[in-house]
Amino acid sequence: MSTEEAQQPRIEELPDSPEAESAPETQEIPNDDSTIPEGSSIAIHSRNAKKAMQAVQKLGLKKVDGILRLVMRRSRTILFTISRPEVYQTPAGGYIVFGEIRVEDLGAPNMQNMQAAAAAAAAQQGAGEGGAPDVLADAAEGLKIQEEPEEEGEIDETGLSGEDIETVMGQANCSRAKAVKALKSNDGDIVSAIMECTA
Amino acid sequence: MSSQVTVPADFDPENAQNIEDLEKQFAVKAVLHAQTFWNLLEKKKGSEMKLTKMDDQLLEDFIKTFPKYADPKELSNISEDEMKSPEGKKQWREFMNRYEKTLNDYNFGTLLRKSASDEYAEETTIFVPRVQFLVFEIARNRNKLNDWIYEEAHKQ
Repeated sequence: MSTEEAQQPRIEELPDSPEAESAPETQEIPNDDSTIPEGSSIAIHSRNAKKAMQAVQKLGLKKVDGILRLVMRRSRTILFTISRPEVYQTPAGGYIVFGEIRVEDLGAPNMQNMQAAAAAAAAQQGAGEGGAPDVLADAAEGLKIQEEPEEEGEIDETGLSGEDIETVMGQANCSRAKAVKALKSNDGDIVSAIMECTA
Repeated sequence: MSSQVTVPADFDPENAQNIEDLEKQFAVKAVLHAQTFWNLLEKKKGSEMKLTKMDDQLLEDFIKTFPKYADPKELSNISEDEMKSPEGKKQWREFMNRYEKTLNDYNFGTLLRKSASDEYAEETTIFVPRVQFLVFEIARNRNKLNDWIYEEAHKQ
């Protein structure tokens, strides 16, 4: 027994050696994709996506950096998410986004399952392209935040008009639950409710 | 939990000053309110809009108390001097106090456009209590005086 224990730490230390992890991170990003080293952290796009991106850039779009995750909500529980998307802003203020879409169902039994699924996906992707795990860690964290307001369950909308709720949701870009809450706390005052949701 | 607030011993209400930071906060909120209302008008026609849950009641009382505002011309161009004259103030105070219990922030400072055909700008905007803002804008909405904002925004 004791001999086994003595050996284990040595085995575990090996993959953690600093060179193995930091090397791909600090690598310069080359322009030619044929020279991208295995495990580099830059995103790999298909030829078509790349062409579209170049065309888009010619239209005078500004690249928006630092976006880790983009979430689109389809219905109450279905989310479309893009991890580490390429985001461009048009002069008019709209956005164009490139990236691989993933569907998430917030109605899934519980968070733990989803995190486990995310971790499994991370492990799979990690094999294909290095640097992915931390993106997914971010994604999992984002999920946690996203989940919170949903836990309130069914929302009591008595005394509120559906139109008002939708107006607040549309103007403030918030969830139905938040709009209902704001309308209630502001006693039906629409402008104040929108202000509360955007604050 | 007691809601009693003790007044500092050296507090002199006659010479009390407003805290400057608090006043600024207040201005920020008023501007935000004006922007939010404007965005709403661009998204939705004023004539189809509801501002509170008691628009009808407010409007009825408003026109009853101030019959001259039944005329869209008067609604469109507010005379600030008249409204804030001693007599006007008294009338308005009575009107507003009726909503002390029923309207949130009934007394909160709010920006109101003097003319329904102007945008919010320095010379075209006055500072009024929330109730005044609501009754004027509800009346303007109902008289379709604010619909041009929506049409302007949807021109292209």
